[in-house]
Order: sequence, then structure tokens, then C-alpha cells
Amino acid sequence: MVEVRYNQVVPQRIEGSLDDPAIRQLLMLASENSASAGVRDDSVGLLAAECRAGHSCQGAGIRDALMVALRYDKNAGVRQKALEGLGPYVAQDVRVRDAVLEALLNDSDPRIRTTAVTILEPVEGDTSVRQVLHSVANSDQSPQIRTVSREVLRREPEIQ
Amino acid sequence: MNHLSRPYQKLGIAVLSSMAIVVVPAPHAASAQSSEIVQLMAQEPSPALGHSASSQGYLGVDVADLDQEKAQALKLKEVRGAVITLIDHDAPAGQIGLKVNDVVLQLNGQAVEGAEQLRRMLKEIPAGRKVSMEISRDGAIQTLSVELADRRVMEKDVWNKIGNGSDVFASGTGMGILAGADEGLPGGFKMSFFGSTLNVGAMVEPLTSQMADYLGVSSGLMVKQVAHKSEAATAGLKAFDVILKVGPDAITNLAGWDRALRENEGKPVQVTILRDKKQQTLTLQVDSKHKQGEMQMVEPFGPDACPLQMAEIGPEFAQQFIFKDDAAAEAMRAQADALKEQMKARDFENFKIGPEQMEQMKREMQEALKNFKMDDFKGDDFKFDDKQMQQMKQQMEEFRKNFNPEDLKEFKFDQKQLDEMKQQMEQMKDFGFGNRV
Repeated sequence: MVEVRYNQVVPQRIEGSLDDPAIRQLLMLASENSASAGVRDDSVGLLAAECRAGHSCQGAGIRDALMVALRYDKNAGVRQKALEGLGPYVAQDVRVRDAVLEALLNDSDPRIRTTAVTILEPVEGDTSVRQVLHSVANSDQSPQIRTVSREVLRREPEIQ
Repeated sequence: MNHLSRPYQKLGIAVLSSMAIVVVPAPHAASAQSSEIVQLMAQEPSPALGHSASSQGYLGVDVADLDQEKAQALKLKEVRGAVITLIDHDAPAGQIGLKVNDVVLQLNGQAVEGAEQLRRMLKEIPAGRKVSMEISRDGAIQTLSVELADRRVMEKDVWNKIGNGSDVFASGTGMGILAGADEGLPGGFKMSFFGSTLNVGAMVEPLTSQMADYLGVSSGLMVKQVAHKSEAATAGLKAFDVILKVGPDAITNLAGWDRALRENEGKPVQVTILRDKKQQTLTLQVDSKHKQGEMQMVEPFGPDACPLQMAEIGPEFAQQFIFKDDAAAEAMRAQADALKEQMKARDFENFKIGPEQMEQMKREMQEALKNFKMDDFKGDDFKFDDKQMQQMKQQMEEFRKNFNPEDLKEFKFDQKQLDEMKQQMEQMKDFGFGNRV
């Protein structure tokens, strides 16, 4: 008599609205799926769209998932979607602002850095934002990003 | 900026940069790549600090006047006060939760009629002073108390947070600091470390485009420091190596480096580096056992000081240092020229900065510092044009041609000279100069 123990992976399918916490949870898990860029792209895209539409993106969950995707995803398309989803929260959440600043300083994709400059406009008075823009205006490899950063810096608000 | 248009002052800056390279003692033999890199670094602008202000208090708001329509929309009973239009979230205003569209009605018990009045009132309050404010938020009156910040100190703190890699700026992408040292480096400076959980003990930073051009690579990360007994040290990484690849993946920035380390957590990985302009492959064991901690930095002027660090510090302040006083600029230029002549002659046996020279330089620097007003510089206005940059580059090139680092091996400052230089450097740093180039 032989006993064989094994785990079985059974594909499952679930449908529901984006407001459904179970769906959201799955999307957040899928956003960190390292195997498939397509799965990550779709899930981050859906979560980002929810955030952009202002649907229940107040809690830390989705925002955190998008920040993780922005920081760590290897795929530039995924990072771009995450960044766009975070845009509306840049003035509300300092963690989001800092994640966007980090992308502006470090992301290898110039499109993402360009988007980051645009997204940071609502917080252009922040000391950290201006300092990062100064840095980028001087040293970014892309002339376009340097120019855009300088333009933002030219609008010097009279902050006291 | 008329003080920038004077050629001798520009020359003074360039020459001072050169001096900073020259005055490096050389306790360690540096590779050709390293010493050349250091010379290049002398030209690299570092990120600018934004404003600089005196000890005037800084709240961190921009305000505007109200009109009837706006007052109604903000549910005010009368058209009076200053409405906040912009918040600096890094400043006290952001810290206490002031928001755009809050209306400041009173400051320290005094009624605020409009934006200009509030600006005047704020100007008169020194940094560190606590103020009370009455505000209206959506019609509800609140009283808040807040301590005004010293803007210059705050800017330095924020920049350190960005530059040193705070939890925010470094946890994701490393921001250059990836510690892993079970034992810190010897020396003085302690630097808080908030690295990723994957720490290999190397401080890295992206190559600037100029540096990449010079080295003939498209991109990479330069190793600034390696912690003793770290994985990076075990792998054989050294300061001024340039990391080009981790495994098959080209590393172009800090985020890529961090991602690559994460992907290889707990595994050995092949790291392709550039050393002395030749590519090599090292095996780096990426462990995950190290957690957040502290990494001690080498004290730049201590017994273990790396001469290259000193060289970096020198040009950095030199780039920022503008002589407002013509005589001081001229005197410094003359001294630098004399120094250049000595270097040309390679008369190192007789080359010394004597106590008198040192004292004179110190006096001139102090004089220049007294006359230097940061407020004279509006960051965006202050730029070198292409011609000026070209001129400075030519001067640097000329200096390099005549400068042989090998000749400096025997050259040393005595301890007293080093102490005096250190003190001067500290004074410069305390002054909080930001790079305006």
C-alpha cells in the first residue's frame, strides 16, 4: 500500500463588481503576481481606475498596492498605471507624494518621470518637491524632463 | 547677477575647485579610474537646496485676499481674513494640518484683514516662536497653535531626508544606501539608515550623464562606499566601481538595483562592474538577514579618511562659493594661481601651506562669508551660461593636464593644517550653502 500526498491547484473563477472587497483583495494580490506582467497590468489598471474615479480608495489597501507597484514592478506600463491611479491623492497623502517623488528621482522610464512632474503640480509648494525638481532640472538625462521641471520651478509661489 | 559676470570671479570658482582636488592627501593609492572620476566629480553639480532665508519664521503657506463671492463660498460671516491658497506640506503649516481654503482670521490675537497684512505679520515673527491662529474651515472656527520653523534648517532637514534615504525615499529604491554591515565603518559620522530589507553593504548612486560619457557606458551605479564585512565587501566590490549589470539585467538606476536585489534574495548573483575602465564580474551573495540599522560613515578627515571624499567635499562647496567681495576673490585667485604654478613645477618637496598662508586663507574665507548673502540668489535666476561653463571647463582641463596625482603621494598636510581645514569646511557646511549652478 502506498500513500501519496499532493496538493492540487484548481483554477477558480470569480466575478463581481469592483466594490466587492473579495474582488479587490484578489486584484491586490494579483497586482503583485510576479509571474505575469499581463495580470499585474490588468489588476493595477483596474485598481488605479477605481482610485482615479474616487471610488473607495481612501483606505490604505489599494493605495498601498499601487505604491508597491509603482516602486517595485519591473514593467513600466504597470508602474505608469499605478502612478496615474495615485495622482488624485498626491495632495492628500504625503506617502503618495513621496512615492511619486521617488519615481521622479529614480524611475528609469522617462514617461513615468514626466507624468510624475505633472502629478506633483498640486504640491509644487512643498519644500521636498521643489528640491527634487531642482535636482531633476539639473541632472535628469532627459532634456524634456529638465525643461518641464524648470518650468514648474519658475512658478515660484510666495510661501511664508 | 552682476557678480557672476566678472570673469575673475568665475575663474576663482573654477580654480578653487581645482584646489580642492589638489589639496587631497593620499593615504590610499587610488586607481586611475577613481582619481579621474574624482576630478570629474568636481564638475558635477549637486542638487540645489531651494531657498534660504534668515531666521525669519516660516509657516509654509501662500495666501490671497477674499472677495464677496469667495467669502460666501467659504461660509464666512464677513469678507475679512487671508485665504490659504498653497501649503508647504513639509513645513509647520502642513504638520498641523492647515488646508487650502482655510481662512486665517487672527494671528496672535490680532485680526487679519487681508493677505498682505498676514504676510507682514509673519515676516516679523522669528523662527522658533509659537503663534496662535484662528482659522475658519468651511465656516467652522478653530484655534491652532504652531511653532514657526527656520526655513533654512527645514530645507536642510528635508534635503537630508531625501539625500540620505529616509524610510520613504530609500525603502523602495534604496536611494543609494544599501547597508548590511554587521560592523559599521570606522570613523566619526553616523548616518541613519533606512535601507531596503535586502542590504548588501554598498552605498551606490546613479552615474550622471557626464560621468557615464566619460566612462564610456550608457548608465550604471557608482559604488560610493562599501561597509566592512558586508556582502558587498566579500564579493570584492570597492568604492568607485561602477555596477553595470546584476545577472543579465542592466542596472540603470537605484530602483533597478533594488529590484534586482529583491529578485535574487538569498541567492548568489553575478554582478558586472566597471573597474579601471575594464568590465569584471563578481559574485554577490544577496542575503535577507540584515534589517534596518545604522551605517557609520567614514569621517572625511579622520585617520581612515578616503582622499577622494575630501576631494568631493571641496569642490562641492567651491561650486557654491561665490565671492561677493572683489578683493577677496582676487586674493583667492592669486593664491590659487600660485598654487597652480607650484603644481606645474611639481615642486612638492617645497610645497607647503604654511601657517601664515593658512591664516590668510582663513581670514579671506571668513571675510567672504560675512559678505555673502544667500538672499541675493534667486535659485532660478542664478545660472552659468554656456560660455561661462565652457570657460570653466577649459580651465579645469588645463589644470588637469598639468596635474599629476602620482606626484601627490608623498605630499601630506600636518595634523594642525588638517584640523584648520576641517574647521573651515565645517563652517562652510554650517553656513548651509546650496548649489546654485
